[in-house]
Amino acid sequence: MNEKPKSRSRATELVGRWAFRIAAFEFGFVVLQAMTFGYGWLGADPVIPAAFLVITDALMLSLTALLTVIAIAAQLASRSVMWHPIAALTLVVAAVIVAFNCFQGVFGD
Amino acid sequence: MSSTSALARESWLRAKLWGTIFGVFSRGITTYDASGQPKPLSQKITLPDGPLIVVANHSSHADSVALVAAIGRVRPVLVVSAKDYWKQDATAEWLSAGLVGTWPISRDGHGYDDLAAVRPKVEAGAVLVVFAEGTRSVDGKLQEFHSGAFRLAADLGARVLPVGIVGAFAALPKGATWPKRLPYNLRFGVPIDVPSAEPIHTDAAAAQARAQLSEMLEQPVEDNPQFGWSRVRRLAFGWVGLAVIFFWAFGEGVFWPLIAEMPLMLLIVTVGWRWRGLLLTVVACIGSALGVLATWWLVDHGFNPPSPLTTPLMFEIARDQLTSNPDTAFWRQMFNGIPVKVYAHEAGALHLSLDQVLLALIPRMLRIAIIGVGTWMLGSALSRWLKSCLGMVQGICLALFPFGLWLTVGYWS
Repeated sequence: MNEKPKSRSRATELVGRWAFRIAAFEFGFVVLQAMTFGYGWLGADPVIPAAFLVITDALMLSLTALLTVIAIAAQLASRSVMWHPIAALTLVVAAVIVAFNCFQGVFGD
Repeated sequence: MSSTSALARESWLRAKLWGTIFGVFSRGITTYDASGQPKPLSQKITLPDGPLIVVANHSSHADSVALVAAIGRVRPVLVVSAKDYWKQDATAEWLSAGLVGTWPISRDGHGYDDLAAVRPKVEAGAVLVVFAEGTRSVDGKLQEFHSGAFRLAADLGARVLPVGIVGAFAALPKGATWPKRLPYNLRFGVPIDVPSAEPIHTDAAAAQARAQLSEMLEQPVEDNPQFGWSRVRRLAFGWVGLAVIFFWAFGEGVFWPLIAEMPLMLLIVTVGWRWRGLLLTVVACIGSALGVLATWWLVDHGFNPPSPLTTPLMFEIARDQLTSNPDTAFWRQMFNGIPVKVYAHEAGALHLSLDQVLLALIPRMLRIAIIGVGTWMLGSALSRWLKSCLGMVQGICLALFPFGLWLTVGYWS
């Protein structure tokens, strides 16, 4: 039942699985940040940690999104799509929305 | 000619890409010339002039990309690969052709025709990498050689350069999914001439290449720190490093716009579990404290040092906090991004007493100590990883720093 289709290489599967694992970690990390800044755990003006996390998130979410798109494209080309990269893309989009709202709260008006 | 320059450009980009990846996922690549002189990957290797075929041992998927990372910096490079394996699907083809730069050949008996078709590229200067064993070794030992590379060298008038890849089998053997973080050594041998494609000459050349490779593979893998790490560590253990940290921290307390912890973090990651880490942190604390005291004294006596990259709102907030509760104001400075020189300036303008300013130095020095000791411990714990990629990590941090500064200044504008 779990035998892999012949059209899909091991590299294609690995890229998909790792895209999901990294996206899941990213999402959890962003939710933790939203709670930290939302509940004011770092005080009234946590500018330094917030600036650091804006940069970290922008880098990591961009790279994760790129990896996810590559994983989906590779699996579509092989005509054999696993659920991992689709879930990864959903998590990346959700993480971007949560992060944007979180930092809008810190740096916005 | 243009296709060769395009290949040279692609090879250079691939070399940089794989060099970066090896920097993160291995303990770095060290190359050795024929005399055994080691060089980190960041220093270019010297290759013989003219048409060249590199013959290397093959025990890992990392072999091809390690060679691309080292050779692609100096000459265009193509790696012979198995058509049946690397053209299985779109991902495999994209990985091999796009990211590695392969020259696929069939393994159904017509391989030499595919191999010979690379002639114009080799004559134009591309280095062809051939794994003469034909497939990856399952036990890391050298297998029998096929003759194709040596026949091709004779046909092209190219020389054969044996390169021993040591460490790749331990890091990523056949069947492994994820590489272990280990060092790679590329040992370059002595070039071999192949006078003709007669079996007597190709067999002799193959025997010579095999003998050189056998000798190289007997060498132990050396774990050498890469270029950036060595330089930074030397600075961290010298007087110059101490002076930079002290004057930077002092200057930041007076007029300098970049945080005191910046050079401290850059240097302290390399010192390991040595007392030097503590010394660097203490020097940064003392420098910053003296800078704050200097600014307070200057403003108290009517001199106003310049304050670049600050805003009127920063001064207003600092003044409010110092007026309402001078004991907690500097504690709030730890996270809020307002430079300490602004607080020192306002402390002088409000004519706070020396006792009050000395008490205010506690949170200032505490922040430097926390960041310094934290980075020291992190650097020591990750030193095996950082040794191969410190330059890249610090380069990325420095490139991103202005964005963080812009966010902070923007917040207080």
